[in-house]
Amino acid sequence: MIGRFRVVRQFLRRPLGLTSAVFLVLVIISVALAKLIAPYDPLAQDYSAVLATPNAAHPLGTDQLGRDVLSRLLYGGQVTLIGILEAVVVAVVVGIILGLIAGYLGGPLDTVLSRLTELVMAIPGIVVLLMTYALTGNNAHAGMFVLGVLSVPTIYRVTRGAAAAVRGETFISASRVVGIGRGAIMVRHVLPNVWGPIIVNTAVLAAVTLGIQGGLNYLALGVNPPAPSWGGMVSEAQSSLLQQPWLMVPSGLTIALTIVAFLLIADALRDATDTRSDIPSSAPRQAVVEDSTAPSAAPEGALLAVDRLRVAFNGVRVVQDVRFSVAPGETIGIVGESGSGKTVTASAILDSLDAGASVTGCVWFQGVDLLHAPAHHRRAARGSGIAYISQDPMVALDPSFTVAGQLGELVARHHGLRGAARQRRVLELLDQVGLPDPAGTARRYPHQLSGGMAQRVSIACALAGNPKVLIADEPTTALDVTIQGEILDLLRRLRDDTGMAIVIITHDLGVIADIADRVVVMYAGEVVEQAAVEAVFASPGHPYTRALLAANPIASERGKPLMAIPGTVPRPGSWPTGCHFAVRCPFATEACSAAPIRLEPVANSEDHESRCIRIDEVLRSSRKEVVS
Amino acid sequence: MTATVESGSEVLKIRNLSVSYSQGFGRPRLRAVQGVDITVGRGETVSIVGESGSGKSTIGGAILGLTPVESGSIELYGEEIAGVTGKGRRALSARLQAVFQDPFSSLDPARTVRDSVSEPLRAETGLTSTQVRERVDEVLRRVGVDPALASRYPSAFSGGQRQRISIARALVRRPQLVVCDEAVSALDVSVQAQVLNLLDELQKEAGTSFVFISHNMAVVRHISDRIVVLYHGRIMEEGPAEDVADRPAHPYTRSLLAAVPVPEVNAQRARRMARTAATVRTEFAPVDGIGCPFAPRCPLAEARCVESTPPLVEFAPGRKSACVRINDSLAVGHEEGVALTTLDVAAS
Ligand SMILES: Nc1ncnc2c1ncn2[C@@H]1O[C@H](COP(=O)(O)OP(=O)(O)OP(=O)(O)O)[C@@H](O)[C@H]1O
Ligand code: SF4
Ligand code: SF4
Ligand SMILES: [Mg+2]
Repeated sequence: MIGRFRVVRQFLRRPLGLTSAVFLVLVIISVALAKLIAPYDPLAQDYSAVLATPNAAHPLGTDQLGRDVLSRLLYGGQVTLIGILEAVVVAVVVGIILGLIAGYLGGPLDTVLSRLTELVMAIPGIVVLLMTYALTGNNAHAGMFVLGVLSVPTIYRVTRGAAAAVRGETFISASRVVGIGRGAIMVRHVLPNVWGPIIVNTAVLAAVTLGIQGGLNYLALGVNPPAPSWGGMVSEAQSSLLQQPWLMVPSGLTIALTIVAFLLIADALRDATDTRSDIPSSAPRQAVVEDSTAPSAAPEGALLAVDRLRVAFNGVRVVQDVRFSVAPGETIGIVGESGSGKTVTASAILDSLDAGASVTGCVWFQGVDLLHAPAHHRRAARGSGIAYISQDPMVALDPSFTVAGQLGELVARHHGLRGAARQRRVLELLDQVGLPDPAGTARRYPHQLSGGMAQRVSIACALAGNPKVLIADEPTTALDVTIQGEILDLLRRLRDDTGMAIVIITHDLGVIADIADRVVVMYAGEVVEQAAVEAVFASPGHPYTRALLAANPIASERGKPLMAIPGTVPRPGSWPTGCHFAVRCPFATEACSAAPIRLEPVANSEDHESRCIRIDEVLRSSRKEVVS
Repeated sequence: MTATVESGSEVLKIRNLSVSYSQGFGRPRLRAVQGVDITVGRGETVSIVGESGSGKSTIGGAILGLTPVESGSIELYGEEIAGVTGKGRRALSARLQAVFQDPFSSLDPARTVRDSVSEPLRAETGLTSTQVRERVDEVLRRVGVDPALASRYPSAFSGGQRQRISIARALVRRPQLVVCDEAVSALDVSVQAQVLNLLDELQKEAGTSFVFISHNMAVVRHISDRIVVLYHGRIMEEGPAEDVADRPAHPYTRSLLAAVPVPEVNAQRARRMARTAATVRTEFAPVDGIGCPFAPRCPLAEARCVESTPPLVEFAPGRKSACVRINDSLAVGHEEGVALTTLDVAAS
């Protein structure tokens, strides 16, 4: 899933991988040029200088027959490296072809191929290799070919896995619709998207092959002494270990370093092909709370209040100056389009921001600023005081435990209930979220639940700690519209029964109208308007809110174009200085782009705020003037 | 968007289409689509609407050759295309194209935008590389994407832009029929409006026909000429868009409409009441696939609803419903006020 050049760039940024690559290239070049640069014939013996330590004539010394070690290392490298190349090429070519076929086509072919590779893995490799050498008269190429075949499963498995993952992607369907053949799809669309893990494993395979081959050569398999090979040299050095320990160093170190180089390259490639690698590895594991300006006081009457919240990822600001508050029993809706900062805001409240995030501002909960409170306090508040449900209920549920199992664990953690009491509470919770058959549901595993049931169970999990606030991030987006209605009714009922407050995040103004008391409209990382729902729908106080309402197809006249908002939301990092909506706003003037706009009360309304300097003109104009 | 279908002008004619999926050894096959008829005229947009798992995408897949057809026929301009694959598909791709849902996975991340958009043209022989380049530039410009950016990878584009690029890919061969499977569902409202307008304009210019698959009644109401309402693989109701969306005849269509929340507080409060009133669990359920599939959730259900499967009958010119209590259902419909009547948002 990555551009080729990006991977190269990423790789070049990793010093260990880069050094290893340079080392390997140097080794390959010198070995290739052995004829030109080797000072001696690798077989030339000189009994006047046996077992010499490094000296001017022999930079790496000589062996027990007085042969030049450097020259033998260079020539021996040819056998070694060509052998690795043969084995790896066989493994990679065969592994990729079979892996693509099995992974992309699936079906019985996949089953057959997978069984076959398992069979190959079960074969004792050394026996096969010994037989090969025996039958082919110690032929090096035959040995390496067989080693390659034995290594096919490694490459086959990664290719198959990656290809099977890509198979379901829509772009594959799109190509099939166009009539592109299977073979062409595999080469053109599957392979480019799976080569990342393949090359990583190829590098590892090279390292492993070098190790095995060294061992074989050590046993004089696949090489005929006195012809040099790295493994053979180790074996020769061993026989004179007592007379001259140095002799072990050149060949042993070369093998070791080359193996390490392959492994480090694999490691660097793994990082470079990992799409998440943009986050520098030195980033702190936890989001950092930066000390903000003088902390404000906890707002009166608010259960949860967010003040001047600002979040940046790796220095790029994604949310700024967000503030709102929630009273007990109140439902507040945060509405905005993708990328407006809704989920980041929720994550900041929940202390669940990724590494690399820095947070400033205040998150007041029951009079305590969670962002600046001691860790145990934060955990306690976030564990039970503030609960969370997400768009995908399956995320909250562990597939390997029954509903009763995971809900029971939460009940035990929050209330210390055991045994029958615990079970009773579990069934009570399941009943409370409106599941028709609590006992039956409790016995099921998450995958046996429909989307709507799973969301009810995840709500039950959230309720286990009797939270004061429930943060629901797009709780109905993944559900059918008829189920959405049921979940909204359920949330409303729970709020009325328990008195908890709800913060519901959505992109759908209809959902806001259905359940929220107050609404916070976000655009490009900022709150642009907030007010009671009636006020926002009756007289929207920001051009963006108006445009959003008008673009809704519900409000359309059939056959007429929808009132689309031209352009797109500016991305974090490229926000304009002034109003973030300016480029798309029909009311925009120069002043709008001159300086940051403040969130200010809308004239003659206490509870209505808008981030627009031309609010008076906007309110005077007809609702139709929403689009330029 | 007022095309009427005269006989002989049908672009697509689906007859008695059934599709089922294997559920593994020893388990009965899952009947995803059963006996569906759909006709699409030239320049017409026919929407297939229904809940998750109702079989919408299966029908789209059958038209596009992505899903094997069990029985029935699919004709494109009178030519049978059900089950056509390989070379035959390649030939069809000049006339039949698709736009899929997810703007993030419908373009190959490892290929440039130019590669992706020109891919359908590979099947067209006799084009020089200059011609290919020109066609791609032209269609990108038409959908509002700067051709100078075509050498970039999809990751450089926003969701809305990617969907425009997917549309460009579908239109580059100037097809007669485009299947849009949830083509705007993943887009934000403001961008969704842009894309819907674009589809509409393109249709007006070229007379393209659309099969528009969606779960969103509001979108479907806006874009369609006719709406087909699907439930458990069967058609529940079918008719002109304004009739189905504003005067629904089938109890299921009504529950679908009642569930759409509208952005207006008082209107939504009233709709919520209607929605809650219409949410029931009954004692009736089809047995062995016989009976009305909606009976378990239908406020009007009674014993005869599950005695046999209600056929899809034409109860008024151009309007069909599969409900044995069609007259009672129509009578209820008048009182309930679940329709998405044009809200007064743009007026005040
Ligand atoms: N490849 C498949 N194998 C087995 N069952 C399938 C397969 N594809 C779809 N189904 C099943 O067929 C039925 C209809 O599915 P289909 O994808 O057509 O529904 P849909 O209306 O498009 O739903 P959604 O709105 O969720 O996209 C569902 O029960 C679904 O689980
Ligand atoms: S500040 Fe200016 S650009 Fe921004 S919303 Fe108001 S009028 Fe439009
Ligand atoms: S046939 Fe019966 S159960 Fe089915 S929709 Fe009509 S009234 Fe309801
Ligand atoms: Mg679908």
